[in-house]
Amino acid sequence: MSITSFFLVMADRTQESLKAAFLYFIMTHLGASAIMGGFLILSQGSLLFDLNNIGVVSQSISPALLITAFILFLFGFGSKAGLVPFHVWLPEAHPQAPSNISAMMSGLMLKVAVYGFIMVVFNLSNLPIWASILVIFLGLLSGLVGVLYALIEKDIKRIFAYSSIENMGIIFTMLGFALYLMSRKGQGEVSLVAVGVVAFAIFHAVSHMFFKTALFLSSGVIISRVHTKSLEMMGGLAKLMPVFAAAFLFAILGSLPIAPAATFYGEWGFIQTIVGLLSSSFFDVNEILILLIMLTLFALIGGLAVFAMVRVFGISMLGLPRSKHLGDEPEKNDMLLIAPIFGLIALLLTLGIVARPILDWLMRYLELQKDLVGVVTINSSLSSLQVAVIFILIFLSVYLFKRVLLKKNIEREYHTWDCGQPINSTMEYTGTAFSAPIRFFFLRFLGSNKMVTSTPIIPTNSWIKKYTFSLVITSVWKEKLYQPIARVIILIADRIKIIQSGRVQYYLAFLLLTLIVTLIITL
Amino acid sequence: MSLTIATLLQGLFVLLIAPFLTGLVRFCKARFQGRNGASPFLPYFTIATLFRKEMVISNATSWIFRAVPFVVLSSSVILALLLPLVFKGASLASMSDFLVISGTLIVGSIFLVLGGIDPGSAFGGMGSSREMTVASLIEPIIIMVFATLAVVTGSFTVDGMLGQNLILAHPYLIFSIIALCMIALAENARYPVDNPATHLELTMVHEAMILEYSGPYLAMLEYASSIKLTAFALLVANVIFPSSLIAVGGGMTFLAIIFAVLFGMIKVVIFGIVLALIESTIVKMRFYRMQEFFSLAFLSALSGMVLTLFARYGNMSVQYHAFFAALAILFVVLLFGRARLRAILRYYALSSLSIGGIAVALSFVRPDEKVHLWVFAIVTILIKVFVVPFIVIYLQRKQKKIVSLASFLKPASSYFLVVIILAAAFFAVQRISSLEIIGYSSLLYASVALISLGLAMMVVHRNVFSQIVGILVIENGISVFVLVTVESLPLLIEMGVFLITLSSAFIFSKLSNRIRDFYGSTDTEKLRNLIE
Repeated sequence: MSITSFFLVMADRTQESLKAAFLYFIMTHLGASAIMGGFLILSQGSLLFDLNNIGVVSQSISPALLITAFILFLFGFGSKAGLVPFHVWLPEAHPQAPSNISAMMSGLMLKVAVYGFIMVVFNLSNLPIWASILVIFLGLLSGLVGVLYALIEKDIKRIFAYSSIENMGIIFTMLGFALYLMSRKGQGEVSLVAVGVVAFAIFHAVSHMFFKTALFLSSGVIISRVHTKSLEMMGGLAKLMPVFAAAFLFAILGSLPIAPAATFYGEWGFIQTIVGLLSSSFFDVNEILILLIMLTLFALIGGLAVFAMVRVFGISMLGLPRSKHLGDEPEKNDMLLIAPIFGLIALLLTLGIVARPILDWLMRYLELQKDLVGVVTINSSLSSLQVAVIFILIFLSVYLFKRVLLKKNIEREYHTWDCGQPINSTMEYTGTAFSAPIRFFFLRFLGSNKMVTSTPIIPTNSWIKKYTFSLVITSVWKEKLYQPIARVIILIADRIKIIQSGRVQYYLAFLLLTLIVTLIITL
Repeated sequence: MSLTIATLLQGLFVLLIAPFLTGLVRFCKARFQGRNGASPFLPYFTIATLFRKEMVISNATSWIFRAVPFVVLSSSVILALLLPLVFKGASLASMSDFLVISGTLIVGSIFLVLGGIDPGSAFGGMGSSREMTVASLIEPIIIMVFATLAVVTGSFTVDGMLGQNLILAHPYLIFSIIALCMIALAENARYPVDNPATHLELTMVHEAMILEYSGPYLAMLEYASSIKLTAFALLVANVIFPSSLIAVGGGMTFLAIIFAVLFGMIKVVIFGIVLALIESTIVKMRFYRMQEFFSLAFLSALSGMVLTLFARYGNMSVQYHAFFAALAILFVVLLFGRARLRAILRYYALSSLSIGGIAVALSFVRPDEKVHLWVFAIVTILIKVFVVPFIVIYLQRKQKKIVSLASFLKPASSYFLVVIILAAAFFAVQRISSLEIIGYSSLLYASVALISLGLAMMVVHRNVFSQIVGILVIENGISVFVLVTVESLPLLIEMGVFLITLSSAFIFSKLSNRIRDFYGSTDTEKLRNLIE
């Protein structure tokens, strides 16, 4: 899978996409080898290993080996899912692929990692408690980092890629918490909640699949229209492509934790579970701290995700057009482009309307799989169907009320209020300006490099100046984590280069040596 | 059937009274400012007139611009129908889940924001950017406040939360209510987040977004914001006085409806007057200082949650000394983010006042030491609330210059540093209290927290005067510690301690003044250069 998608990433055949593709290739292979390593540890060397035996094997294995296997799996699946310290390839590779491919990569292929993680790690028994806390920590970190970068990025597809990281973070937090509940000793009733949490994670993964695919498809439509990925060059599309604007708007709203869409119910269930556990008295103080941190960060991530998504829609679709490729007249709708997006939204909405029955079914199903009885489900009587119906009814009644009450609508078209001087698209709020308050508030977490330089136009007169402004968003991870590692590796490679003399005999000698050492170890 | 009628009646009541509340706030504000003010019923006429006016629509806009008023008005109407505002347990009660409510609020904000961007003017974009910031940062606070209420009451719906008499049974919920009030101010674009009265570009958030709307659409948006304000007014009032809600049980009598409407009107009027009073006494914050506002609101919500959990896990009933201890810490936390010496001393005085409160509350628990504790309380209040701040202010007033105590951290970051310190102090104390030496673990925690906060204050701030306040805070912590551990200290020694506090405050201020006289600065960073 990773080899084929490697070619898909570099379908553009530009320098950047090649670079992204190789980064992707390396990361995904590191991940794959880590997973293989984990399996080899579990199977104790045998290559024919039945996945169903994981639970049995993990009980007999020594704790140190189990932990090693767990770390390998976490790195393997985590790097495939784009969890934060291992995420660098994701915002490079997903945007570089053609939009339909990115839709598949973000929508579907990330879920494979989730599936693998659930299948393998949840079957390991006797995991120490800190292992699950590590998963929670990485999940929350991914959520926060993903959403913050989604907020400040300018490339529309990178924004969606970071949003994928955020959602993966949410899913992995839920999974980590479920692991935590399962590895807690004693209190059977609490560990049963874990099943519910896994159900919410799966539900969120499914809804993420729908809306992220819709978002990437929409981004493809936009990019094909304005010929750039930069948010700063878009704008004004809603007027030209009204039907597509509706599809994109619904996709954006669907990606947010707002009531009638399916995305709401995964997070809703998780927050309900946390609050429910807080009010039960099963937990000691340290555990409550974890619950509180999760609650706070989930709410914060949710709020910031709204900001990020609304920014994408507002800047790319509304206002005055900034791109030269756009005309003035509304265009003919290409229904083949728009219909799939509507289809995905319909799926998302349907899933949202029947969320409660599906969640209940999912929990019962998981319960049977794990031989657990009496799942503590959420005891809220909120009905997802009722929510959807009431919301739509109220909207319709407001609409009809206005229509009936005011039949005569006098309208006049005029330009936007401009203070006496014509306004053009360069005066609009850009994406960078839009996220300025958040960038300012979270300055400590984001590596951004802002520079304003002023040079006097005439050297003698210091009052008339030319200003240049540059804002570079740096990736803290690349600078602080990956570049030092790269430097160390290059250093080691330099040292090892000594044995590279170029003579064939040397290499043959190494071969012989390796053979002897291998034979000594194995025999 | 009567449940549905109740829901509809509540909706009707809120829809009808909403413009009045907006008008009332404006009227009261005018009176507070010494103006006559327009009639509180003016907004009804404004909305009616707007509905009949011609609309000017910008030619840069798309269909989204036209959809916005409908969605925003619907979201407000949803709030008016879902929340328990006049009746409790009406037909949509099960839907008033707090996450659904916060989602509805967000939808309203999102569409306002889109409507602001659509005409393509920079004003709208600025308002939208700010509104979106406020809406997204308010989200964790909303969830924390309602999660606290959910933990207390065991119900996830707002309707269920208002079932019991919350405040009397759980005094620490006052923190959550403060946070809720701050949410109400931010959500409704009131002071200090936004100025609802002007179109000035520097202050505008809400007004900037609706700048391009006119005629019926403007009326709908104005009406929507009135409804939202009314819904929040009734919600805040109901959280404080849940018994003023009329429960809809099996049947609804005519009398119940009358009472419900009457209570609703009283609550709206009181809220309007209080809001006008608040808006007349505080100033608008710079937008880039908003993070302080949000940090404070969040901290308040968090302390409500933490205290609730403490009370649940310790199986404590109301413990007033714990409550005062929490207040003492909270004031020191507030002090942390301030920059002006006067503000810092004000919070120090309030914190000391709370320590006096601890002593008084303890006197009810330990009746045999009543006299002693009362003397302690009175002397504490006298010296630390009045004399010490007065001395420090008096001595530095001679300089005729506002002392701004520069800090290494921004206020918002320092608040979060405080959270970390408090958590660390908690885990430190947990170890001690497992030894079971003392019974008042909350007070012990308060003293350790105060001492560490005082130290942190001295580390973070870099002014000689803030070092004085830091020492005073540490001393407060020690006095709480004495209160807890030593059952009764001879009165003479205690007086001696107070005397030392007093004289040290005096000497330190005097010395600091001298330092400034000699070197022209009290910044410790600059003073460091003097060694050479």
